[in-house]
Amino acid sequence: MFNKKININYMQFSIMTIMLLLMFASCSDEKSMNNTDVSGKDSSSSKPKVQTKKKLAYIVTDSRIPFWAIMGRGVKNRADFLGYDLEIYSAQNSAKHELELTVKAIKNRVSGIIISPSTSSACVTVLKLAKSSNIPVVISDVGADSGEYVSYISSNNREGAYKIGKVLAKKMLELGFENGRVGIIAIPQKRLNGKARTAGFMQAMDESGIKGADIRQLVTWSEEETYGFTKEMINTYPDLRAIWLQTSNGYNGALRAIADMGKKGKILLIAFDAEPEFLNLIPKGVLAGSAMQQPYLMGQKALNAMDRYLRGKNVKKNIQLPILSVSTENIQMQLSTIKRDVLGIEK
Amino acid sequence: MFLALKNNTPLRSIYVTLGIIIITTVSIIMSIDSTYIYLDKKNKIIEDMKQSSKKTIVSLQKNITDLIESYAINEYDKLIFNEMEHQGSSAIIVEDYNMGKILGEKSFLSGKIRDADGKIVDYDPKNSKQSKQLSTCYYSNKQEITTASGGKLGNITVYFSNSSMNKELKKIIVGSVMNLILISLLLTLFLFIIIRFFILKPLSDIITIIKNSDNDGIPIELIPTQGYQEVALLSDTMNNMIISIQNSRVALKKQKNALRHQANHDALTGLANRILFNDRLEQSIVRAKRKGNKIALFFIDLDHFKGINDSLGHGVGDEVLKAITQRLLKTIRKEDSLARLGGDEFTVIVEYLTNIQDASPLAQKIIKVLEEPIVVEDYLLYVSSSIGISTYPNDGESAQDLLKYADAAMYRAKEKGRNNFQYYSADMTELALERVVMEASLRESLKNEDFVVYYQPQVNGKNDELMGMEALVRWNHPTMGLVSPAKFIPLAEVTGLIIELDQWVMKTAMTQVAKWYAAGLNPGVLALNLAMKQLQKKDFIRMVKKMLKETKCEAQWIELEVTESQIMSNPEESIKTLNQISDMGIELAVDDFGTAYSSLSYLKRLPLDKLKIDQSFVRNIPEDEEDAAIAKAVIALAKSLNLRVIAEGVETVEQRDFLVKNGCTNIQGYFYAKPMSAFDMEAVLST
Repeated sequence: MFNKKININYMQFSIMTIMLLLMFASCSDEKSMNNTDVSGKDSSSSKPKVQTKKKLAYIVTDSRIPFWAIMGRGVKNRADFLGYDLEIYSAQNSAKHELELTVKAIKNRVSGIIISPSTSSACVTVLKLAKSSNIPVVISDVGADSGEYVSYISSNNREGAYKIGKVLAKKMLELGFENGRVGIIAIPQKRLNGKARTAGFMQAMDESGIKGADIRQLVTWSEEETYGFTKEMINTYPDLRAIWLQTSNGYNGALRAIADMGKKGKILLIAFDAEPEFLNLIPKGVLAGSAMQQPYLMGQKALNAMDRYLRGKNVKKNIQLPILSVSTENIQMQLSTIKRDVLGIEK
Repeated sequence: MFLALKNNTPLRSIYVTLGIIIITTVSIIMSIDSTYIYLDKKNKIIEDMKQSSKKTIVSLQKNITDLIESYAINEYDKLIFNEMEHQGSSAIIVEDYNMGKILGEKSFLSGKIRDADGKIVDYDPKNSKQSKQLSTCYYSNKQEITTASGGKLGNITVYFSNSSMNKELKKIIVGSVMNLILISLLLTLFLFIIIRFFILKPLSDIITIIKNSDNDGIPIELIPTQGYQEVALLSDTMNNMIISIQNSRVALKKQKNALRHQANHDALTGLANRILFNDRLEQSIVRAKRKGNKIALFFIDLDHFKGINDSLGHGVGDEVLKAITQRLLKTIRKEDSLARLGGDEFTVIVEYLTNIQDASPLAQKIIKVLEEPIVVEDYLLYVSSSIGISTYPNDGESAQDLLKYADAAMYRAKEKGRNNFQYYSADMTELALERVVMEASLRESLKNEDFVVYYQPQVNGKNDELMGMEALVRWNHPTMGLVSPAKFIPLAEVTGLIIELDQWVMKTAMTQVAKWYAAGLNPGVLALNLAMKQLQKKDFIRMVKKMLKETKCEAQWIELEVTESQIMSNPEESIKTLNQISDMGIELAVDDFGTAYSSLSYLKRLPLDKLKIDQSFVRNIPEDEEDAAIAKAVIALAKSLNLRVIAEGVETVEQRDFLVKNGCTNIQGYFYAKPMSAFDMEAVLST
């Protein structure tokens, strides 16, 4: 009687399995009609099976910030090209929201998550959550204090900051500002990239013999905040001759403050990363220069890494992209790269 | 470890018992102590756990609250990690409601937990091992995390396992066991040494002394009371026991002796009883046989004693017997043995007699002594005695026979009218009577100076010159006429009258010689016979000196003769006294030389000047070759000892010539002259 029962159960299982396979097959057929491979060709004719589009999620700390918006575009560009269904989740700079989005992505059963986390610490939790659901993660920018990830795409913040520091030092020397001080409006220094940037820049300053004035950390990342910090430093340090904004966001606040303080032309401003306006401001010398990450390229590289992973290929654990050191003198030479990889201008 | 005694009962050594006691005691004490320490430590650890968990929670709570509110899960995980690194909790788990809401669950569990190696790792709620670890934790402390306004953010739970506690406690146990072993060993060793030194050694010393015991197992020496109080007390107690046993033994011996005495002695008088008397008589017979002496046995029966007992009672009778006993003891000699056979019968064993008749004076003395009245209470009582005398070996040679015959003789004495003594043989009795009479006469004659001194010349055999003379006493009895010295001298010796007699002869002769010298005559050296009894008197030397002074006689004019047998009866004393005499300047001669058993070693030590050859060796020379050889030997001995020699009893010219020829020129005897009176001697000296 026991054996009879086993036989009946086995039969039921077999029937169910066949039914599921049939269902899967039908779904695959449907999707395969929409698949395009990397080269843009319709792969359905070259591939015998119908493939389902994999879902990916790109969780970004704040897509309102151009840097990450550009990065998102890079991720999207590559996702589209490789035929992934990408959803971009912006955490609006909220740790809570970041987690919520992570959970949402997990619940949506994405095949992978690309994340530009708010902090390297917050990234750890995201990695944990993703791991518990066996979802691979690629990190782009910021990084994680610990945890498992497929690949980490970053800029060489230190080198970039160093190079732009050197550009500034050269400029200050040219203008006879070498005895002046340099103030820094920095991104949160608990971030690894923040620390790296500051370290590289300070090295350049030290090597050039240029004194530092002060360092202020952004909290709100708003223009007004930048304005306030700039004004403060100008008031505090009469020998302030340059300000380095460790981001591109809020640059205008700094410029306004310099102008309002009557220091236009007397205090140089350099930045980190880029705004589209920089293409204009740098040649004009309004900005002395900027160390430009290539967020669009980073996004593309991140997606590429995820794709390779999902396809079972080897992936480099750490992919570090160079930061463009753009100054008035060399902006023209790097214009196309800047437009594409920095600003994400796809056309 | 075990010593088996004679009955093979195994005895355990004190060391083993002590070791067991010590180890058990230490084990119990250490166990109690360890248990206390264990429990105390455990409680402390638990308390520390609680305090630590409280502190942890307090420490973490505020920060974690902020971090939960800011959704900084990794940050509070890092805080937890740091906290765990500094304290020993097993896990700290946060229940995050905020995160839980995001996940659509009640809470999100995060935190840190220690793995099996103690490493702090992330807590994974899906890890069943970790979940089990939490569920089996020894202690946990959960604290709610709330916002400032009281809103629940979650919980923080601190977990403690008992692994570290167990490790600590295990250390305590191991430490306790080690301590127990160490302390036990040290204590055991220490106490063994102490006990060995302070208890067992002194005990061992005591045992050694006790082992040195006599045949009865009583220690010979007392145990020294030294060392510590308890040991000294033991020694002292044992000594008391030993002394007590020794005293008991002495007392027992005394009792035994007393019993033996009682068994052998008469209770009333303390005299030997019949049993002892028989034994003594037998011993006396043995001695007499060996030495060739005679024994006289007196059987004394009190006359009319029964009447006293019947009329005055046994109490008076007993007193009479006691009085009689004392009188008899005072009368008999030291060497005589008195016994009470029973009732009113006494015996006296008189030994060392050469002549049986020598016992008669004693018998007579006893008769006299017992005739004296006895005063008992207010009664004046007269008790006389009847004495029967038997002699060994004449009458018998066994104790039984002697007693039988003495008893028979006693009855004859009774028949003869009591208050007398009778020998068993009639002849003896007659002789005894004669003796008694003679003794009485002797006393009388001494009083009356019926004695006379005769002088026999001693002549140089070569030239017939007078060398000296020997003083010889003669008894001029008023009725018997001249009595031979052979008859009265022995009696005088036995009765002790010889001293008085001797002294009289000495005084008389010395006075005479002094007179002759004073008269210008040359009597030579006067030889005086010295009785042994005189020699034994303590005041003899003083008496001689006094006599020399009184008689005006010079010491060199006299020579004292002592017999060889007298010297050998007590040679040491003789040597002493004779030396004193010699020191006075008086010459000494040995009379009757050759008749006793002289030791030549004593002879050498005596201060002698002359040897006198006994007449028994002279009588038959020169014909008797043996006597001739003895005479020659004596002469040669005298020469070798540088002594002069004189022969007595020389009666013939042949004897004289023989002696002179062989070196003995001093001659005394009838050949030259018989002993003569002073008157006659003076005439000789005058010619």
